[in-house]
Amino acid sequence: MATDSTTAASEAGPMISLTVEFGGGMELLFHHQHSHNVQIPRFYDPPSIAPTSSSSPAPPTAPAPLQGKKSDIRYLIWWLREYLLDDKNRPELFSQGETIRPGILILINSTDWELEGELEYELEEGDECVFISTLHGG
Amino acid sequence: MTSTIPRPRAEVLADLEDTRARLQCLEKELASLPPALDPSPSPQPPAAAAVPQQQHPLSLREYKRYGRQMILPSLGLEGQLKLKRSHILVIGAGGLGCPVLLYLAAAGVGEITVLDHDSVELSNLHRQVLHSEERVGINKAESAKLGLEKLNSDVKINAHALPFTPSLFHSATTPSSILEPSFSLILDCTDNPATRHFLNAYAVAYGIPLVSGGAVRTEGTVGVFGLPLPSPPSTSSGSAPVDSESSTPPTHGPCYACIFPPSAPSPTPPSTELSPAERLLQEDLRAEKLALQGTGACSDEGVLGILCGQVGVQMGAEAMRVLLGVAKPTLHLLSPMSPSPLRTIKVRAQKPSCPACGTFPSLGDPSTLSTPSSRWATFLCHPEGRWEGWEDPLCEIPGVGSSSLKREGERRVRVGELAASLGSGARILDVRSKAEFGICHLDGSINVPFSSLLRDPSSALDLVSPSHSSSVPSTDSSPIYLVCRRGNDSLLAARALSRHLSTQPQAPQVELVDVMGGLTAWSQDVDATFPLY
Repeated sequence: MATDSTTAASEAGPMISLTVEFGGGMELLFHHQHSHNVQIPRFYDPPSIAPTSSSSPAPPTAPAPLQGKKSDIRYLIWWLREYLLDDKNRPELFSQGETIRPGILILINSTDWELEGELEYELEEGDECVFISTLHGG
Repeated sequence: MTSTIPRPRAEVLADLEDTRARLQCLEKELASLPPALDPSPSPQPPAAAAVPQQQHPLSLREYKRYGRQMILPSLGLEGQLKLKRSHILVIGAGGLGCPVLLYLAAAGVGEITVLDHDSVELSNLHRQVLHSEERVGINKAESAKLGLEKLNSDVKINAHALPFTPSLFHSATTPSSILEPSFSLILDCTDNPATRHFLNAYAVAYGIPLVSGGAVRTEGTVGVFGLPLPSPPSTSSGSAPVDSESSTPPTHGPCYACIFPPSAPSPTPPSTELSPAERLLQEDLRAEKLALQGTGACSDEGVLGILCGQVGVQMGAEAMRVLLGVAKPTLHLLSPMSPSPLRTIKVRAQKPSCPACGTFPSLGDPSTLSTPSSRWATFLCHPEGRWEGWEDPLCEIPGVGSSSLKREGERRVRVGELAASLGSGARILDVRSKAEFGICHLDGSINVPFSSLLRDPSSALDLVSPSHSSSVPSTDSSPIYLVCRRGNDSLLAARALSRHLSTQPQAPQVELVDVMGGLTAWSQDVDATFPLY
């Protein structure tokens, strides 16, 4: 199993780089900064991010797994909430369960995430993910 | 004899409006007359007399006025005529409505109906460029009409001082153009989610394309929704069963609600099974969450004037594309202050399950189909005209400052009391944003933005401890006065700090005082030279 993935990891390293952008007020939750370059593990272990998981998340400096499930949007939402969100006590401003809170649109490389498989989209090196909350002013 | 007593403002305004209307009539009359230097009837020049009179679809003035854009192959005379034959509905004559109206009227859209219930304010003019200082106080739709008629008197403008709400459809005075719409296009230039979703439902029910824009702070969106799609060229089998929706391609592009689904109803109030203390805590946490999410209104969050121009002009461009028949479903993100100011998004297809534009079995009777127009018809028949999910945006946004009841052991004072305690060691904690604090603040006050205070209450308290604010002769026991712009966040901040202190029995206990009405009240009641913004 997963020999392809393991090979890929050893060739390309255990981490992938992404550009994450926040807009429409979401940036206020992430250091008041619109654009972030982040490095996240290429693979993850799904049970470790399950809402029922009792263990607290590993520090971001912990060695990344060399195999497992390819990191997807579900994992990215979890990762951003655990490692980048300013106020860890108010995750509901960003997420709801394993997904994004209502009123926020996710764009993957300038494409509506619904066209890319939503939570299941597997992230690639260099992907750009935008989280933008609905703008109502006028 | 004229009275020396000044007339009431409303009377003068009414008079002014009458005079302007009269002025317009005169100008129109003059414009319809032949030019003064052209002696008429005059003998025709000999050459012209021999040429038979041609029929032209535009007036000579229109050829001249629109010539520069008619030269463009993408427009041509045919395109100009399409614009002239169009009747568009613009909801909102504010930050987005102004540029939309200016450019579409200038471009020669034949007829424009504009609705806005609001009046022009001075704080609008940095972005609502169709209004002017002299029209502060008059209705925005009326003001827009005055401005547009000066710009292009060949365009017919219908202005209505009305809000676009469900009750509009249950009122005998509503114009029939709204009740029986035949608009080529609707432009959503509104400023709140309830009106956006209601307007989208209206557009969907009547099959009218919608160009919607939103702008707040330094970012905006522009989308083209409910656009009829060309039917696929193949298979002419018109006998497709109705229930195989997923297999038939959608006839329309996504609607506003397909892409921005309406939020779930606000969470139910805390259950009565909780203890009073727990209930108050839940209430506070809910209010804090709302305050942190922001109201989304330009008056609270701020808005860049240029942004409204950019978003409005992009809406105008999409409107032209719709009217010329070359539009595609799309969504643009605009952020003029960022290095990449324009981004275009590939959007999803129409969602068959969309509550606004979807067609699905009725909830009550699954043997019948619920369609956009059947849902709209049900709404029209409803005696009170209730629309699901509608919350009146004209009602005050649920804040805590004015409405919240005083709680046991809580101290809330008016601004006069804060004024009286200045100099006697009062410490002032201002919980507005850093930018707002930078605009104006009370001497000696210390800034800890609301979100930082909630995240780290103990650092906030350290900052106002006497060792930090040496200029004020305060002590650890001096009360801390909390202020903000209007008095909502300061109350929540006072409650959050007192909650924090209750978990730290060994920390020095201080009295926390919320200043009701905030700096707005300070300017109104204590110091009229303190800026309101």
